[in-house]
Amino acid sequence: MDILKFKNFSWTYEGFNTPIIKKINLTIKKGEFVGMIGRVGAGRSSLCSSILGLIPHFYPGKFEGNIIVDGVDVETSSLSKLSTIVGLVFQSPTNQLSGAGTTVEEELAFGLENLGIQRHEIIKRVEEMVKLIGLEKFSSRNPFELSGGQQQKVAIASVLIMEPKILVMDEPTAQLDPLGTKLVFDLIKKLASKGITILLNTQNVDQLAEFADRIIIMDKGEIAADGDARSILTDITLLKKYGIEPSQLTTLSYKMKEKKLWNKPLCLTMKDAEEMVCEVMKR
Amino acid sequence: MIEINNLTFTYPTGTNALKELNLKINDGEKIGIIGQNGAGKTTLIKNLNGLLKPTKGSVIVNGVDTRNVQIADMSKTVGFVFQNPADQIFNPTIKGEIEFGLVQQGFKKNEIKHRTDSVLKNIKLYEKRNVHPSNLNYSERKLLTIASVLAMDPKIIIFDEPITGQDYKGKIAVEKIIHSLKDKTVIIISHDMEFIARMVDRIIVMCDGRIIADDSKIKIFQNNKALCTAFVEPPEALKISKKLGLKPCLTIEECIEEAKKVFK
Repeated sequence: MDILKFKNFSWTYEGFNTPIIKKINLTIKKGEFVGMIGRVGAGRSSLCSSILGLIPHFYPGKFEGNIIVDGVDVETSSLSKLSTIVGLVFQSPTNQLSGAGTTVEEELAFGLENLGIQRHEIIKRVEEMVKLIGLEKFSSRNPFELSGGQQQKVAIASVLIMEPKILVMDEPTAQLDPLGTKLVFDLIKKLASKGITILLNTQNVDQLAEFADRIIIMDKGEIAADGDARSILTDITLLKKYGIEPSQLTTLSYKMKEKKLWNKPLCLTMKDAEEMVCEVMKR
Repeated sequence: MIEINNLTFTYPTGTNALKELNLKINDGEKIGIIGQNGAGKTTLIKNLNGLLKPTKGSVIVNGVDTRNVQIADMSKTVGFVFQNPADQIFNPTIKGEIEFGLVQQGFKKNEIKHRTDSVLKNIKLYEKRNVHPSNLNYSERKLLTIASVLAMDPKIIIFDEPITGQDYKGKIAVEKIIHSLKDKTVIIISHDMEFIARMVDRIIVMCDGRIIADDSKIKIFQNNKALCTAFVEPPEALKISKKLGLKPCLTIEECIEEAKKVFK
């Protein structure tokens, strides 16, 4: 079942002559985990903003074509309606945290209160989320007194707690340490297994190699490539063409191939690399 | 040289972010600071340029106690590139952004022009010098913030997460600039261990407001106890080189060279 559909979608920000997104046609199925990569300025963040309806309801500009989210037309719907379907995690927590609460727990409860969720359900979800994302030590602290990375964890938790049908993440772990990143991805993986549709915009190909089913490359406002994760992420020529750094493991196997130390498909995951190492060691 | 003596820093909210740190950084060193979010990394570097003043202890930069000088004076010696370019950029033109610091430091007009033109040519933004910075993409804005610090030619330059949000081209551009700072003391905070392995010689590991390890990069990346405590993973090249029975390598390039020697 299709949960997200772009039909000839173009977007031009007010004050600009050329569109940042150009006639995109894209369909995402329910439960898919889609990774989106590309150069800075390719239009990826704008595409993320359009799914929640920030484009066109918050940013002024020219909207052409259609975006249908879980049967709802983005252009004619309201932000509040769309926010019950789509959760958007921004790159910077300062753009996400409401400031409505003076503690992490209150910040997490804020969105649920606005949706009119029962009090006992809010308390249950907040307690679970605090534990899941490793915020126990900070639950009574003001989010704005935490470090940048800790704030980002709160921001991510504030979206995940709403249990959206579609989770859109715009560079969500850019400020997180490796453990924080792992916690977030473990949680996202858990959500994906529950059937939540995920669109992850990132520069970190290593993360996508492990989690994504499908990869979209954006370039100059258009979709330059769209395919299964393994075939896209191990196509070094394609990645280089669109200014994307391949994963360390793919690069390693590619260079080993160049030096005639390896002659099989390129590695994507640590498991692939371990198999490569075992074979090389046997020689 | 930077000398940190029993540095303790407590925020007004009562958070004790740094606990009796002692550290010496020599001129020209390339240092990486790693550790979990909330370990105290950013608080430490803000104490180096006087943005924060020690609650207890002292920070001496090139013989000057940071408690006794204004931030503006410290900026002549210590340049600070913020993580988010939006926290640093405020001028209506690219050229103005570079000129601002130079004007504040009292440079003469012709020197300001010379330095501004030179750094803008270096980051390939000279042609756009009269454009508003908001018309630049994220990578270009990041380069602009770096250039505005480099124009002042400080002896010490601090980078807080310099490649966060950068694409491949942006990363390469930032790496090229940092590599060119041969005679400067460079301090980098990053969660990207591959990047740290390529850019620095010495690594300081922080955890819960304390320095738990301070050594050469190769020793730190093999110090499992410190890495586990700080929840840091070594570069993948190190894991692979160990599995292949090679000499420990920190980059893919080293790994390939070693593999070539062993598996001919």
